[in-house]
Amino acid sequence: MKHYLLAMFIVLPMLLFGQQKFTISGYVEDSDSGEKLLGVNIYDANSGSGTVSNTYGFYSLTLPKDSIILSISYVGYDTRYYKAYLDKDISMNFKMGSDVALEEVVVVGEKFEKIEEETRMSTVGVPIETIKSIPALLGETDVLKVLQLLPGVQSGGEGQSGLYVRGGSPDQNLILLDGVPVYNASHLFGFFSVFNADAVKDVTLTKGGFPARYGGRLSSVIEINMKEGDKDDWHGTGSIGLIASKLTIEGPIVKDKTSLLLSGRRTYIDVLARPLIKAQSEGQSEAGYFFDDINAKINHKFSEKDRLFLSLYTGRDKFGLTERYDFNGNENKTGFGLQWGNLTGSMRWNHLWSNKLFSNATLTYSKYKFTTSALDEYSFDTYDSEFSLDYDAGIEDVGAKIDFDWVPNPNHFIRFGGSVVAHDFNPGLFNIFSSEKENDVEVFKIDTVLGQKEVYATELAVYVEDDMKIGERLKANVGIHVSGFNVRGKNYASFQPRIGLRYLLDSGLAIKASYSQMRQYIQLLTNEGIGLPTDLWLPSTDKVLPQDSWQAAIGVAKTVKKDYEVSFEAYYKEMSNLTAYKEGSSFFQLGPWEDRITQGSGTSYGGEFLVQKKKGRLTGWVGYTLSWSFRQFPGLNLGREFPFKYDRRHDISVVGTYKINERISVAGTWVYGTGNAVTLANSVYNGDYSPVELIQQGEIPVTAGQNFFGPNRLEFYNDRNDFRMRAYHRLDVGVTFTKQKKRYKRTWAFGAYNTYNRKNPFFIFVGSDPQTDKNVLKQASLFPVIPYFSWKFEF
Amino acid sequence: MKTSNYIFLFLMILSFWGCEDFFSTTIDVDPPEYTPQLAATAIFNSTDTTVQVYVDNSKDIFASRRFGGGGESGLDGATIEVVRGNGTISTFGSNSFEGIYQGFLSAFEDNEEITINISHPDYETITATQKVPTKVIPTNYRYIENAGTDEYGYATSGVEITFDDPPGESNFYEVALLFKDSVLTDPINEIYEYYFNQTYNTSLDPNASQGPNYSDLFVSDVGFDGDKYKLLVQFEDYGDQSNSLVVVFNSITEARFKYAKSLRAFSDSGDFGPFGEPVTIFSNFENGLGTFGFGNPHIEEL
Repeated sequence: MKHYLLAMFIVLPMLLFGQQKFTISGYVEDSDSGEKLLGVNIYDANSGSGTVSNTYGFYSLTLPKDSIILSISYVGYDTRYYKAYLDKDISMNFKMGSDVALEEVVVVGEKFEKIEEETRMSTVGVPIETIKSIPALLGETDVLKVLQLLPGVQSGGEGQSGLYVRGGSPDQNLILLDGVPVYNASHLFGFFSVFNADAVKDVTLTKGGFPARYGGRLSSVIEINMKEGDKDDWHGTGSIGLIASKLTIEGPIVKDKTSLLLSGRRTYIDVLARPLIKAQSEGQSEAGYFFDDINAKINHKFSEKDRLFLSLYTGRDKFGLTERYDFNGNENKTGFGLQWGNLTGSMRWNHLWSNKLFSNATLTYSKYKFTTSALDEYSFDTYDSEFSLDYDAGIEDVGAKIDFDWVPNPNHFIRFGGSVVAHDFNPGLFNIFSSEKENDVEVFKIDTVLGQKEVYATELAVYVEDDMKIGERLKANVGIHVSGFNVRGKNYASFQPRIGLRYLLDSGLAIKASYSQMRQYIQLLTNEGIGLPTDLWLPSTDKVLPQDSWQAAIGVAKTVKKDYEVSFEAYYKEMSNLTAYKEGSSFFQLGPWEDRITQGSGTSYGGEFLVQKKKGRLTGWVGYTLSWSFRQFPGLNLGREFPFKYDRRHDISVVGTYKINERISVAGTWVYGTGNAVTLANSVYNGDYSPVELIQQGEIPVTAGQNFFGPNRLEFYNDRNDFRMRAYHRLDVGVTFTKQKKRYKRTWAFGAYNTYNRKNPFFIFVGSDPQTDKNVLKQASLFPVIPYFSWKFEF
Repeated sequence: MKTSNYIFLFLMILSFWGCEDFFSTTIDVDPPEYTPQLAATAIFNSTDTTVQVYVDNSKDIFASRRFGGGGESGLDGATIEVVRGNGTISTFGSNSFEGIYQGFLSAFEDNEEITINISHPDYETITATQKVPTKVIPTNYRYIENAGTDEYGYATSGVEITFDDPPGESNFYEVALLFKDSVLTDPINEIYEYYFNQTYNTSLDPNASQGPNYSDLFVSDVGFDGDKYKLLVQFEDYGDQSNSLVVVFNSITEARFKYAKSLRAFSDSGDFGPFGEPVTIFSNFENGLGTFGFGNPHIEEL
């Protein structure tokens, strides 16, 4: 017995001692700019445990007391190694340097751990360097249009920046700029997105398998993070292009403590066109259009445990037209203006509570406003009149949220948090003013406000998720997202379970599966086509139910020959309480918006195949999507199911960049998509319905049957959206010439959009053929081949 | 390779475009396929002393640019056969004029099943069946002199109609108010001829909406199935007290309701041009287009 007790006293402490664990934690950042790096692999070769850095570059890895050999790897950077004996908690920051030797061009997906390692599926990170290397319309780099090149993501129409993700509509995408929702992400009626690529650090698209921390939209989450600003040196980039110029500067305000980034972009269509219009109208007319963006960010490090980020974005589109006539004493001035834009701001505070617990608290503000105005002034002799009409609509949000990352041990990465957002919806107000004067004495005046009342709503959400490792082969991300919405005294609540699984086979092939439920309390009242600024964000109400969806996906992923990531995913998504305009109504219609819409359901399913090459001179990807997407509304198409307008059976994208040498690289993209579905009548007939006719029959009136006075011409189509426009395909090519000058580096970029001048469909209409006197179906195209060039400098 | 060579190569590639006419922004595309069919409108009431059927054939929308604007002739030469629930068959067709066919039928019974077959030598025969809906008789009418304003802000009078909606089934109603007027046609014998003027009926009731002719109201019981319901029908009252008001409360089939609603939506859509949402015109004819609808009206003179 004594021996047993002795052994116990000796062995037990050893066991306890052997189980003792310590944590190594810190930040990973770029050694040149100090930008925090997201998704860096930190792996201990001795224990086989690892983790990845979060959005703010923070990592935490808890390991048994032992010697450790950490490899810190991130594609595009040199792998770093760190050796230590872990017998206490260690705080260690890593600085990553560029991997010049590999000459890597950063491509899609590279920012994450190996594709077969991660649990998440249906997620793609797009580094900004990739976005900048792809040829673009008029040379204007566009973040959202690059996302359209990924499997499962489609564009609406020619040149449009709206995203249709897995059969969803654009309002089902949550677009976050530094954590703040951006409600209207397009300039120039949707041809350009509002995101200035020079100010963007990275972009991540999640189109399914949503972790519990995401909520509020059905189809996707697009996270766009702005650069933080170089903490060590002042840098700048700028470009002069065909339609816009940009300038970005960044640098330390207080070295290694406070940094600033400031970026601006403006188009000059108005500057170029104004003299021409003025000359054409002999000085009587002026017209102009421009858009601009300003991004600003301040990053301050209070200590190793506390950091503060202030970020701001403002952008607007402005169109104006004025005409003046002065004829024989009659003076007339008319004007029309349109302006719309976003203002977003956020203040984020990162705090390290311990080496295992990290938090990010954020205050957010987002505003989208659309205004239009019309003016008519007239004067003759002693008579003066003035009429003005102003209309404004929009949405304004104020929110707060807090997110925690807790890494209790290498097998669990727990995230939890909550948010509250106060929405203020303005469905549209008219200010009307009219006055008439005789000899400066007012004889008539109207000054009134018409329109619909603002709607206030509050949205709440809490979540918890655990990214867990169960044995060597199985990983799971399990969580729940709970949300609530209060509007006009009506309360909605939703419990949304989320799960993602990954199982690794011996062959290195990962099998992944996910299931997620989502709910959306706000929707965009829009026409299904051009992204007009008149589109209205409106809440769920007692009459309009919140949208719901569930999505299941299964797929496989593997890295082949080190350089190629191959993945295939199949998904199925069901959506309910989707909104659409009622038959016969229009977005031009006045009256209560709730009376104009109807609700129904949607289904989409398909498969997505993606091969990416990440390293070497040639980089790029090939994506293919086979998909189906349908809608069914009791009030549309006689209740029958019909294809979604953007139901696209085949969608192919080929993207490649080839680096000929250090100075020259060429790039190209080719896209193909099945034509969009449109509703088109194929025949006409006459029909009628007369009001009740009565005749007197003896003492009583009786019905007299129908009287067909003049039957109406009615149009017949088999089903809504049953006609397909021509297939869309396009080749864009570009070439860049880069040269290091004495004080700066310059890059010339040349290229062409739609290089082989494909007449892609923009819309179709019924025209006439003067030769045969018959109607003919015609297709209008928008962009022929459009060459571009730009000059860019970096210092 | 020199930079200039790359530029030259790039320009060469660009010069290869032009497979299609470069400056053209519109091209002709193939229209959707089309099969000519019979299209008919047959809206009957149980109390109709005569019935009319309008027959047309669907035409290729691209056949002629002159087609359009309405008012074109319908299709003559069709035969219309009405098969009653009691087995009797009535056929008419020889008296058609520009697609309008007239028949004389005896009154219909509640729940009687009626089938209409329309045939033409050049087209496939089309068929539709309707069951005469059960007549719902309002239990009360209340005239309201000042019934508030309509959606356009005009002062209205109104009639509040109370009725018991049959529970557990979908019911549809078409409601109209008409002024009854008379003209003395034989002063010696004091014989009057009566006629009925339609009014512009409207309602703020969420379950009611105007039909294609902007007078009759169409009501679905989705929001009040099985309830005792009060429907306020508003109209602009011009104050001619010599006229009496006639209420037509018509229990109609779902087909008739849907056809009328879709015609109204089609008309509204046309007001917005290309920005109007497309409308599917309701049809219940097998092998063809158009609608056979039925009504069972109760008429009350207030």
